[in-house]
Amino acid sequence: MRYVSRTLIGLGLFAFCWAVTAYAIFQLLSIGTCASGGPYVPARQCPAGTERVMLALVGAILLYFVAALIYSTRGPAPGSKRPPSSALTILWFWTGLFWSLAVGSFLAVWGPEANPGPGATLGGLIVGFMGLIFGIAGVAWVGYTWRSGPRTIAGPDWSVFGTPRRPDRAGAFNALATLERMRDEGNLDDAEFETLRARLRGP
Amino acid sequence: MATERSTNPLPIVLHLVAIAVGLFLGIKAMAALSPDLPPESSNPGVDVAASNGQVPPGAPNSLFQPGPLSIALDAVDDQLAAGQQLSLVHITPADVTTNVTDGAGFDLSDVDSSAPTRLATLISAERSRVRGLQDFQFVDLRLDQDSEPQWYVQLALDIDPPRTYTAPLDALAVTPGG
Repeated sequence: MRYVSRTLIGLGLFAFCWAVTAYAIFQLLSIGTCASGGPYVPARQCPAGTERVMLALVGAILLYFVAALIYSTRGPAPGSKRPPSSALTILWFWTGLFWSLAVGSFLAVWGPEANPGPGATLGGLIVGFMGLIFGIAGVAWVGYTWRSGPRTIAGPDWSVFGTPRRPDRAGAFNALATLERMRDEGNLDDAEFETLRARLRGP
Repeated sequence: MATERSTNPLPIVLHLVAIAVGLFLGIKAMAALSPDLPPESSNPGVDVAASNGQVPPGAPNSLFQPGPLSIALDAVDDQLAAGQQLSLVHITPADVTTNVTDGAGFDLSDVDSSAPTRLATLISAERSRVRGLQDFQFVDLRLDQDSEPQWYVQLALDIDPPRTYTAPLDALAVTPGG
């Protein structure tokens, strides 16, 4: 049940954000440059509600993080013991965000209902192609993960602070055998043998 | 979906349903939220609110005056895209209109808000019949035949000819005609 609910909600929220992002960018590029307020009436007034579009875009970007949190905690699929792929979360978040920007930009410049405002054509193309390129990074990560096998996002690497040494049991056994041979050959007395054997065993 | 690959189609179905529903709801929400887009682009400009074009040329709030013209030009600048060039700035007492150009033109920053006042002083110094801004009909900054910006003054129709003057961009000298 957890997998079903969190997949539906998390990925549904992702898709909701993709649509909002693309739609908002399309609207803003179609409006183009505009002015509001002041003592004179601008010829290019910002349409009423322009600020809602900008707020929706900001809100969608924040919701991406909420969606990522929900989706990444969905757990294994029913009937599977494998942990869920974190690469998918990155794909939906990163690639989804940037490709939705690209889709909205390209529709505003080249789409069937394209009517870019002043200065919007060049700006839209820049945003579109940048979004396309950045989004490919997410796809590349998924491809790399699928080739390398399932993995989760690695946690912090604590080994930089040093790792406890595992005892070299084979080395210690050989050293003890050597000490015993030296004692048998008379090269070590009992006291020296005991001292060295205690060192091998460690604290 | 490497870690969720199995003979169970549930993950794929869930993902597809979630994407479809999310996209649908997103589009619906934005359609309800978004403003109506302007049907076509209009050139940047401003007009004095509630004036019906009836502002006297010499009035303190006339756009021939340096103060109001400076504010108006700032408002026009907000409507221009970065680096956008102009081929015409048309100034009347009640409005400022522009023509943008994709080719060679001039920047809005080339428009000196005190130029109309300076031109009025120069013309009235040459012609006593011209009292100043109150005898102006409109002032343009436009491109001449060499694609250089040039001031163009049209005096009121009740003034004896010549009723048009031109001046270079710095508006420090006027030439009748043009």
